Amino acid sequence: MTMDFDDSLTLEEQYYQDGYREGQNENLKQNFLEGKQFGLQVGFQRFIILGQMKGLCDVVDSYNFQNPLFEKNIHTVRTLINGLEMNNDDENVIGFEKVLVKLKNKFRTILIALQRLIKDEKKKPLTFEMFEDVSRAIAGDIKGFVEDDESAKTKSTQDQAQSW
Amino acid sequence: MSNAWEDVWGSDSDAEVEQSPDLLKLRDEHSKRGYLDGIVSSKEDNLQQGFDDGFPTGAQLGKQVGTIIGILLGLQARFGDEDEDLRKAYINAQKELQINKVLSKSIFDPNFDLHEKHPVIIKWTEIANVYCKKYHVASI
Repeated sequence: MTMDFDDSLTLEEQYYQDGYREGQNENLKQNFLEGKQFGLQVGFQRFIILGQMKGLCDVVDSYNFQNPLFEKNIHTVRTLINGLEMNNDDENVIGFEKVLVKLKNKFRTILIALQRLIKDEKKKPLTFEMFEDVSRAIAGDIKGFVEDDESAKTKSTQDQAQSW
Repeated sequence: MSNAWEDVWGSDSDAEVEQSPDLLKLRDEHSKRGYLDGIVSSKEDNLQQGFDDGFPTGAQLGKQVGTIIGILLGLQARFGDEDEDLRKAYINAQKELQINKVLSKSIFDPNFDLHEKHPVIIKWTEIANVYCKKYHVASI
């Protein structure tokens, strides 16, 4: 095969462009997956405490204390949780933070009332701080979160959040 | 990295064999240069789209895990002193439902999608429901 100089230049450009597209597509795919891993993790971390509140409300609701204020607070917590959208749209992120503050306050009152209602049972009181520590212990330590291999690269939430 | 290179640069058709060595060398050289430029060209693109795509699944899994833990926590706080199995179940649930176990790569496909119900969450939902029944709590 013989080629003149101009043909060779065109070919070089074509090969370069082919390679460029290949590299770009690979990068976009990797970026998407990297973002997706992080999205899975943050979604999990944001919603675990809401699930915990819901679960605990189900338990205390079964005690049937016949206390209207207590029941109203449980109903409010459930309604607020059910009203939250589970996506990362801008308006939902802002709404989430507002609702979370309300939920935490309301839930604290439930825990305090619960201690009063069962004080005769002499159980160790369940505080909101203990409650939060549980979710933090499960979802907070996220080194190498979706890596099965412990030697895989580790990142802290803060590192990842900063690079976001 | 080596696999990626092999995928991209490995011989993949009979036609190439017939091309001259000079032409192949030219292709490899310029394609590689293009590939390297391409791979650094869009550093942050698509990260947000990926994040938004993964978030709802993570949120769903987090909420399910939280519900199981909330139920076991509530029950063991009141009945744990008399129910050793419940106490142990609560401790084990906290270990097995850790974020790195629930979001383990082995449970997802290569695109981080979940095609079936999460096996660890199914297991712990069933266990929690046993205690819900025992202590007259609405099941999950």
